[in-house]
Amino acid sequence: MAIGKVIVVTSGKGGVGKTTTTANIGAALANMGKTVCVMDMDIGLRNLDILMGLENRVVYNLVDVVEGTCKIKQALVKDKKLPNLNLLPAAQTRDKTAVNADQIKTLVDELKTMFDFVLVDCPAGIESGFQNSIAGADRALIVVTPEMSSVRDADRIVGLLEARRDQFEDINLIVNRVRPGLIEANQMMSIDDICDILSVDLIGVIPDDEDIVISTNKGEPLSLTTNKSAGQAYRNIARRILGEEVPFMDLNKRLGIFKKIKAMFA
Amino acid sequence: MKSVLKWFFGSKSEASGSTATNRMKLMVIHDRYQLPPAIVDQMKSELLAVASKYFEIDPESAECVIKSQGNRRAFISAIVPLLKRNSNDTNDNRPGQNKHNRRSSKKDNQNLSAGVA
Repeated sequence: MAIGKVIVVTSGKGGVGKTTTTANIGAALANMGKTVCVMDMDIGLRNLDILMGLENRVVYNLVDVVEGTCKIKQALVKDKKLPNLNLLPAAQTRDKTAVNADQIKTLVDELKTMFDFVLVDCPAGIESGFQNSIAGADRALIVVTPEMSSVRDADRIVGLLEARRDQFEDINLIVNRVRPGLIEANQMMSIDDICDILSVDLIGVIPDDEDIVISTNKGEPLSLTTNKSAGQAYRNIARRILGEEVPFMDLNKRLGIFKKIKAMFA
Repeated sequence: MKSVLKWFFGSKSEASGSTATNRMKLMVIHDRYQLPPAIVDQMKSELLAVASKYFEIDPESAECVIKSQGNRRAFISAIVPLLKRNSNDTNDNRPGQNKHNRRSSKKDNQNLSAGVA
């Protein structure tokens, strides 16, 4: 009986890439042979099924499990390619009040016995949806983009998680949608500045990548299909979660010579 | 030369990344301590009032700011230029203290700096 780890993916602000991050890290961990369950806690606004390309296979959902309408195994949706990757979908017709923190804690404790990793996709905000999502978590990944509103909201999240520091083995930061050219030109907060402000250890930097749009359209997480850019960055995070020392990618390598010169004079 | 290149590459003149970082640093402190700027102003005037009990000060060049210390902590940094020892100070009349006080009053424009974690 596996005793897995529950990792909550959270951010405070909406639209910074929590769901994309959950899908990609979940897929990467599964691709490395781990048994993984990705769980959509955004009850009423579910999206993780779309990113995984599993929206047509959803029968039961998390609320059904909590209410005893079905067994956990009936609600789990297996990935098309990776049999050890499973989705526990959110309900689309209910809202955040359909479950409470104790129920989610019980649910993830049970999932931990079935999987090596349970990745919880937290909804935006700091209300009940957030509180429920962190209820049974052993580890937290905070997703932030290099924008002031995102960093400010992430700071609230860090504060709330730090208040329960004993619960978490690790609290780590993922900086998403990084544009190296803008940072080089000092038109975007640097990764170091963001880490410094939030006082959280960095676990990954994801470059802004158009391929994310395409992979979402296809319903195939990028971390499974490409070695380039964002796909590689997500795989690196998965390896770091497994305890490997992986050096951070040199994002500036991707800048052309013209952009580099331009940055010098910006 | 540099300005020509700047013009050629069409750069924006301001480094908005640093601006964002500086605004951000201040904002998170205010958020974490639930500290509206008005309270900082009030605290500054109270700190100056305390200092001016003992010294003649230059309120114009006094500075009182809250800064980040890392580790999600902040500190108050107050820099109050001192002009001279305040002679109206009634606490001064205790014996044995005058000598010490006279000495320190000679150091005009000395800075009083306080750090509170």
